Amino acid sequence: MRFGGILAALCVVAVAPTAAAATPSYTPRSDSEVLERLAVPRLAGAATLRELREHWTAQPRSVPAALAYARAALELSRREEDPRYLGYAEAALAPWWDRPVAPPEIMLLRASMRLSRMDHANALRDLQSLIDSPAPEGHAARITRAAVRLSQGDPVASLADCTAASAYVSRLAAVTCTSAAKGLAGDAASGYAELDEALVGSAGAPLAMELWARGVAAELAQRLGRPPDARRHFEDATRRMAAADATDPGLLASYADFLLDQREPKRVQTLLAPYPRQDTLLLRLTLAERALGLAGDTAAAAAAEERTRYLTLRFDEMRQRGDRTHLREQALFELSVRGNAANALQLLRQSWANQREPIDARLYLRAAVAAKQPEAAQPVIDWLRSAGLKDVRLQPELATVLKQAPSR
Amino acid sequence: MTGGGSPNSRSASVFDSTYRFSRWLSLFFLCTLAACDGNRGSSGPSGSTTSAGARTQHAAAAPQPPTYDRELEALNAGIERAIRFSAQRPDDGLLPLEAVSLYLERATLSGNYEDYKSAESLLALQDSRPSKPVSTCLAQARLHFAVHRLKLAGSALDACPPTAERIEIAAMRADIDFYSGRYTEAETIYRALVNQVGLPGHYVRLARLRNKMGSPGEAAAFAEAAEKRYHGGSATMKAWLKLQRGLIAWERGRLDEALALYNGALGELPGWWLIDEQIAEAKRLSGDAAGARALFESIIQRGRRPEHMDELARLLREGKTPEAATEWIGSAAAIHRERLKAFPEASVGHAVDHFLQFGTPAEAEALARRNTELRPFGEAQIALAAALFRAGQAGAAADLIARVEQSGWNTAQLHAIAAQIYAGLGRRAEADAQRARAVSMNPYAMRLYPLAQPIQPELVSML
Repeated sequence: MRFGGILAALCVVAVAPTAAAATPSYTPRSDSEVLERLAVPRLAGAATLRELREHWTAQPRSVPAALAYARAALELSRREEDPRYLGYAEAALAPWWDRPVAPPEIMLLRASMRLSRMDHANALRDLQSLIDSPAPEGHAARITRAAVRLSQGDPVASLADCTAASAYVSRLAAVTCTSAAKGLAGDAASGYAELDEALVGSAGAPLAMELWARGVAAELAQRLGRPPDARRHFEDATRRMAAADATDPGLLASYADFLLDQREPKRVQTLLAPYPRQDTLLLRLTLAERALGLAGDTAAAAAAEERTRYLTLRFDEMRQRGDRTHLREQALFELSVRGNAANALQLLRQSWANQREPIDARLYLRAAVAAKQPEAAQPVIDWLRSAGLKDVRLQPELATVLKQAPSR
Repeated sequence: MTGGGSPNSRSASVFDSTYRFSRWLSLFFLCTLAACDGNRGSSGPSGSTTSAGARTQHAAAAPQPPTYDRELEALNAGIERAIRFSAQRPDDGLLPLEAVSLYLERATLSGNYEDYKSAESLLALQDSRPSKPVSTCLAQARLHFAVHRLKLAGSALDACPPTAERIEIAAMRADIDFYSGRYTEAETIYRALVNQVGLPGHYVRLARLRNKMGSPGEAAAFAEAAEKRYHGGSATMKAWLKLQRGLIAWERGRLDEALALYNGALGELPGWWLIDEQIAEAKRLSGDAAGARALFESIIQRGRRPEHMDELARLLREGKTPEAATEWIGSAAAIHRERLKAFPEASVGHAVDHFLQFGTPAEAEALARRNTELRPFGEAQIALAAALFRAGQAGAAADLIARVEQSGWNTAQLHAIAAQIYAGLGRRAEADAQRARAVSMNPYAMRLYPLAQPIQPELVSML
């Protein structure tokens, strides 16, 4: 799911700029030592982050000033998968961070940041407060909660929120939301048909909206076993993204996963080469280069090895920090790169509480099979039955699990 | 568009821009009256029933410094006198017309739409007269113009006999051109009026047009010239002229200058809400939210206008008790809906502001479309672009914005909104260029005119 892709993208964060930084921890000799020079970040048509920060520091209690800075920083954290920006955003909202009642726009953004930290409980509390209030932000909160419910594997609750929000969003947003929920409940066919039609009738949609919609459409097409349709949506989306000089790590990760499924690692390498800073994408690039290496590309094999060392370091750092926001990606790394199915299974057991999308189910099933613990996949089988999800990509692993350990 | 000043909002400000411009518009009728002020002595009826006369009488009876309340009292007395005299002299067709003028003037001063109804009723009675005064067509045109019925205003002018006041007809035709988006035609007439007649109202009209065509320096000079050429005794007019200069300075981002002019205007006519609301806006921009809130509360106490309730709600939403905004939003919505029923044309622009932020995107879009049909000039089109963007039609919004730009409209607001629409579409180079233009015209443009974003999940990147 596109939602899931975004969540996944938010989970893994990078500090070091390139894979070349795969070296042991370094302690600066003095406070004045410059470790890295960053480009001045700026979103299209907006002031630089520095300018927004200056405005905010001049008026730290000003809601518009704090919002402008925090929004830009959050957006950059998503694009760059860099937690420093998320920290900036949180700092801007510090005066309101612990307040049960805060300005509605602040609460909405705060919920978004909490989701970025995988703090679902507090995020959902904020969203519920907004939904219960007469503030217009309640509509955005509702459709945001629909996305969260979807990522948690609850299509019924998600659909209810989508429906309630539909009068306040564009047709494309409404159809994308409901199609995603229907798709998770096993009705990907009608969801896909409605979304495909809505996309045709939504020329001129905002970029972010179109990328979201095409990501969902591609996901639904994959579930239905229609790779050409999925490919068309991914290609349209990435073309538009590139034309806008934008970066959507969630979309790129989903596309890369699709291409890896289609056994097209070379295309993944080309697609993701420009994004060495984003760990979710670096992980997919590593998988692609490993595949190329197995096919005889020695340069790719060497690159994959170097990236593996870097990613190992990154995930170890996260584990040492007790950071549990990246469990899915870590599991994928353990399973597909390091070949440690038991570790992967352990990580997926932990992440399953908050993340139940088809990608999680598939990983879980694969890990259970690889770890020769088919019975460990029972939570996934139970969920598949209750949600009603139908996904052709799950069939091979599901068949194996059911064969090895028939469900209760 | 806006959220608040944006055709924005994300923030409340999205809507300020339309609203702010509407203040210009509503006042414009006053300017029309002011233009008449200068030659009323020669062409109008005997002075005792004119507004200027009413004020003069009032001033003679009580030589106190003018205030908003006293101006209003003078107009009340003038209207009462005009109605009374009219009843005593039913054959005099000019007396009801004088009352119509006073109603319109009072509507502009107070913001009370009911006066338009009273004026309309009086004019309807005029229609049944066997012989109507020559200036009836002008009164009808003024009323239609004031309530944004441009086509009817034009038709009323078409019906004027050859003996009607040609200069005023020309000025009103140019006004209709301006609000219809025919800027070149409007400018040609305005310039001719300035060069051949040169009343303050002509200068200020040209100032307004040049300000919207990307020449705020010229606009400031024309507005100053208008003020210098006003030698009448109306405190309202003096205050209004200063306010116009302040608004031009404000739109250039010269906040200190704007504030000085607003205070000067307040010195001419203390207590006028129209000036106070600008000062409140300045306080908000400077970070004095408490001061802005107090001033809006005071303005609302003096007259329950929904636009001010919306502004107060926006401020409360940013404060420690955001739930306090709910009541104001509800009250404003109720009044907007009542007005839309009673005065559909005059109120629709203000309603766009409200519903863009607090209503459904579909309702805001419908209102914005109606507003643009009524007055297809730049400001209304920008508001429609904001509504389209809010409704998820960014491409259509961009197309419309491009047409506005091609029309010659050239303001910081236009470029700030364009920057945000292009950014939403991922058209980075255009977005950056538009932002640069906006900021070069007004350093505060991007803060003054935030654009209300389409509603979508927060998890989705805005890119």
